[in-house]
Amino acid sequence: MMKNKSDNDQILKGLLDTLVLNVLRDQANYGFGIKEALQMQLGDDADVLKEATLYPLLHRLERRDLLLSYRQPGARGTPRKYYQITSEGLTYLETRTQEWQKVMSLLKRTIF
Amino acid sequence: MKMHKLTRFPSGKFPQQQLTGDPIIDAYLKSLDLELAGNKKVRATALEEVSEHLLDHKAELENQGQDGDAAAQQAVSSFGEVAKHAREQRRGLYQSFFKKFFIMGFVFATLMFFIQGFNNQGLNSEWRIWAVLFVFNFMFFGTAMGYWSTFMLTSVRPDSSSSLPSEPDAELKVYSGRSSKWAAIFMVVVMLILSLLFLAGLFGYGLMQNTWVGASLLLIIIGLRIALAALTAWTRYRLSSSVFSIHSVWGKTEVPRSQITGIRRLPIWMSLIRISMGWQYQLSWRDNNGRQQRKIVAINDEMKHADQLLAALNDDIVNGKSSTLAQG
Repeated sequence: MMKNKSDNDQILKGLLDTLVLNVLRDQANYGFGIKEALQMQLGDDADVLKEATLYPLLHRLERRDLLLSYRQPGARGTPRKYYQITSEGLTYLETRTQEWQKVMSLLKRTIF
Repeated sequence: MKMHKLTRFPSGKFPQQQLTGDPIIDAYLKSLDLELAGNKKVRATALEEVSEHLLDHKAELENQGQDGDAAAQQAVSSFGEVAKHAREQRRGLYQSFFKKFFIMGFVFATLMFFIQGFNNQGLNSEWRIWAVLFVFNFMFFGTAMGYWSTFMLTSVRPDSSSSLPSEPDAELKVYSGRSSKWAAIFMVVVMLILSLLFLAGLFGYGLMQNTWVGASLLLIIIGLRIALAALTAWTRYRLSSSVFSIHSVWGKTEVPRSQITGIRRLPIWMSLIRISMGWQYQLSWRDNNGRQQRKIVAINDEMKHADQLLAALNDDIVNGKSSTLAQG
């Protein structure tokens, strides 16, 4: 069961990268905004991305140059950190999307 | 012992400018700060993002009808345990430190190898002495430079006047502050003096007369390159809605934003070998004849609004690529 949990964690980790990059595909956003956008898209399944996971994920994607961050003065006067997808991030998103589409196609033809 | 406390030099105190005024959120931020690595500015940068998130979440819950304290408590609970967040921040910084330790340690140890090893006495020394010196310099400079660049350096905070230019007349200005310019003047003076010392040594005068010719020539070149690189402090970038302008002591370059095809950060080792002040980026664009042009631009975190400049240029490139992918 522990191995299954670890396998599921790995699958989820790969999926979360794709979900977050997809939110940022069209425009930059800040951490809370990303969470809100995912909540709107995923509805009841939104708890798949916990807040404790979001910022480490964003920082990891930034270290891999899939995202870059910049700060702009926010409504409260303090700087707000925005994340923006890079060319490498866009390419990675396209690749991962195609991989997930292939997985879905295989599952639809076999199990579902 | 908690190792991260060694990185909180010189002050481990909570950065007071991060207080939000909400006691529940402030208590969480203070607990988080105790577990974070880095100096006060590095920790403040991490805390800024967390406090913005908590305040946004609290505001959303208040809009839904919750009272202030309950909203703050829920925002804090939802955000997660302090230990988990702090662990992730420390892990990222430690990974960065070790990477810089190895790269900078190797580069500086090699440089010192030329200075210390290649003099008339050095050529006759045992290889064991060279090896010990190399390892010592590797450890010393790797630790010092890695520590400083990881746990003490942070980007300049944007001021209230800065924003990405979206209106026709708006312009983003990127430039180094006064302290960076003073540091650059110091660097230019010191490097020129060192280069002159080694040059004098080549002709048999001064402190460096016993240095091997090859090492002297190499160090003259490095000294002059560092002095020239320090002039980056006087480089200014301007980004209007249509043009990206680069103003340096060497001249001015203007690139239409619509023709920019890429901006890529060079690897750290390449930046070090090029002896630059800050990160080196390769800017690519197509000129009016359709030919690909390239230019290396130095953008460092000490420049005001540097991150916004990179974001704006990246946005131009991604939007161009996104359109291409959509058409494909």
